[in-house]
Amino acid sequence: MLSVRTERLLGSTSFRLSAAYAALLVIAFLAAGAAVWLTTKTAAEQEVRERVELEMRSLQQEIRAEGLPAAIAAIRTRLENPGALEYRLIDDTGALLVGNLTVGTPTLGWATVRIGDAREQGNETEDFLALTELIPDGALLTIGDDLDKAEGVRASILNALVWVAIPTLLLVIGGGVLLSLGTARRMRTLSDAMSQVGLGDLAGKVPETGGDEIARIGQGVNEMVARIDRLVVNIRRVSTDIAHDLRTPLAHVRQDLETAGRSADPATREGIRAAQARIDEILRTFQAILRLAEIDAGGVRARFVQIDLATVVERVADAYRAEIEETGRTLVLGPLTSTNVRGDSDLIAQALANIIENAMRHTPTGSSISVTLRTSERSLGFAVQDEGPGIPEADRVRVLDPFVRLDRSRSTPGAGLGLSIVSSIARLHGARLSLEDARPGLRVAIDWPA
Amino acid sequence: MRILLVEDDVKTAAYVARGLRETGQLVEVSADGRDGLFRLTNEDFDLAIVDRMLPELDGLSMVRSARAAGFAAPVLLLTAMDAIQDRVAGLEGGADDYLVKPFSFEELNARVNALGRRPPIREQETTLSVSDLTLDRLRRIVKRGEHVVDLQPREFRLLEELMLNSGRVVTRTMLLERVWEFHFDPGTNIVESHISRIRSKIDRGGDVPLIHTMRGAGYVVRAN
Repeated sequence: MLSVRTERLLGSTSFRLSAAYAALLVIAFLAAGAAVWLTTKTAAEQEVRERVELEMRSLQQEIRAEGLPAAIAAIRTRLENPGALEYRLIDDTGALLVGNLTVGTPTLGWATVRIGDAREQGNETEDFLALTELIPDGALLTIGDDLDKAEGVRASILNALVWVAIPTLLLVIGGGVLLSLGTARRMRTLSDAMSQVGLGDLAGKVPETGGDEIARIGQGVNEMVARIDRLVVNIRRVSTDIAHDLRTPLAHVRQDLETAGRSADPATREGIRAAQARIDEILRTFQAILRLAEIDAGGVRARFVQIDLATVVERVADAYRAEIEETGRTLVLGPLTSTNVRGDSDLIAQALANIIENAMRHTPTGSSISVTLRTSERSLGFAVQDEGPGIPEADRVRVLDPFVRLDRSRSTPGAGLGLSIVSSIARLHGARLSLEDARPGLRVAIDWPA
Repeated sequence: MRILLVEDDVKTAAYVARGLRETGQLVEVSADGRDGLFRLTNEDFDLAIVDRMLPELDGLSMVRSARAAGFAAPVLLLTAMDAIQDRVAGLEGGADDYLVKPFSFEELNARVNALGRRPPIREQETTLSVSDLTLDRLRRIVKRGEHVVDLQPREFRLLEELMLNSGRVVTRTMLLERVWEFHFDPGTNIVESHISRIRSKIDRGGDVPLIHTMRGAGYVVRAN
């Protein structure tokens, strides 16, 4: 099994590049080796041919000038010298007159002969290049030389090549891995930052150092994110400004209605009360928008303290128990084990309250809503699970955006800000909000990293 | 009660002042923080209602300075509704209660009345009683006549809060803040549900109902 880290390294672009370079280098070395082998082979053969031919000329001349017996004597003398060529002289009946090339029936001209090395008594074979010519009297003279003498030189050259090749390859691969690690890390930082942006965190910055193309991509990403951030901020500001600016006139309308209601007759008073209720609804929406803006601004973080989620869960669940039971639903509260996180207990209470209200709004009577604390090695938090219809996978990200309401929720009250506030509260706390399919039902959880 | 209202929005100031005067309070209005501070420290008021956002000197600094100068009467701070931090800062800065704008007059009036009864007399009492309903704060026992009423902890807290203010209206928001520490509007019927549970437990058979709903305002515990 490869570790994730290794797998990621092997998959990185820069690693692939250096691996490709290493492969090319191997091919180059193989080609060089083949070239050396072929060249030395040809050169050695050429040398052998020249020596054999020279000897053949000299012996032929000797036979013509002094006769066969003198030549036989000359060959004998030559054979006594170490490192001599190999000879074989046979008469027209095929009987051996002189020589040590014992094997093979030579044909005229050049031939390669492979023979066991009789002198060493071993099983080694040697390749000989032999030239056979007809001499007067109908005898055949064969002169050969050992090709393997050249082999040694060739082997040393190839050996040297291998010894150069191995460290070079190691250097290339090692260097490639090192470079990959560096580049891979930078690319990972970049892609992590971009997925953060994808998740809606527009505050993150990508490193721009290095002066190379990765740095330029980083700059591009940062500029893009900054622009998106400005747009988002502008949109937010518009809605916040509207909420802010309309609040005072609406408050005045509300005050006027209240004043008018005091002197009105009962029927009119009813109408005024209804109008007031509607204004309160608008004001609640504005309040949620402004609350959202305040949470997103992040200033509340300065007040974060250590809090026990168990006490918040107990307090909020307890508050809703009566109403949940009154509407024919059941509240199941999990064990309240102490779970400490840093945060603002008011906001966490609000997040949990919004989630529970959401569950009450979207589940049939008779179903149960369970609130549990959950702790794992990596995270701690709480989850609210209902038995309602859930949220289709495709809509789970969308429902967290302000004012988004799924079609089937149009008939229930609310402006579609509840889950946005929950999402903002989770983000403010560095906690993860997840909407999971509880099969059946929806499970909404907020988890702090452990 | 002599009340100083420090509020720069003329319309809101007029509305609050008129409402409070109708309930029999003596209301003076000041339109900026500097003037408000001067009057608080130089005149005699039983209560101050201070807007958080004021020209010249902001409400929070004004309250802090007034406290430093020895102003001891209760202060009700009016905060903008987007201000989670304002509330905490306000209470830390010397305000006794806060109210998020915009508010209904009943809400303001209930809080003014609750603050106005300070110094708290009843808060030191260990047994609260209204008619034949008694609540023992130490032993945490509630009785209707001789009959012991079994209340959940949070129901006990709610009834205690109502009985501490017996005869005065306690609003839904006040109960959410004081019983559940909810400083946001849950938009559901948490309070209503608990009140109806408590009612069903304390008013049994032919008992005279003791918890009364003040429509649009809140709840009041009283004998008749």
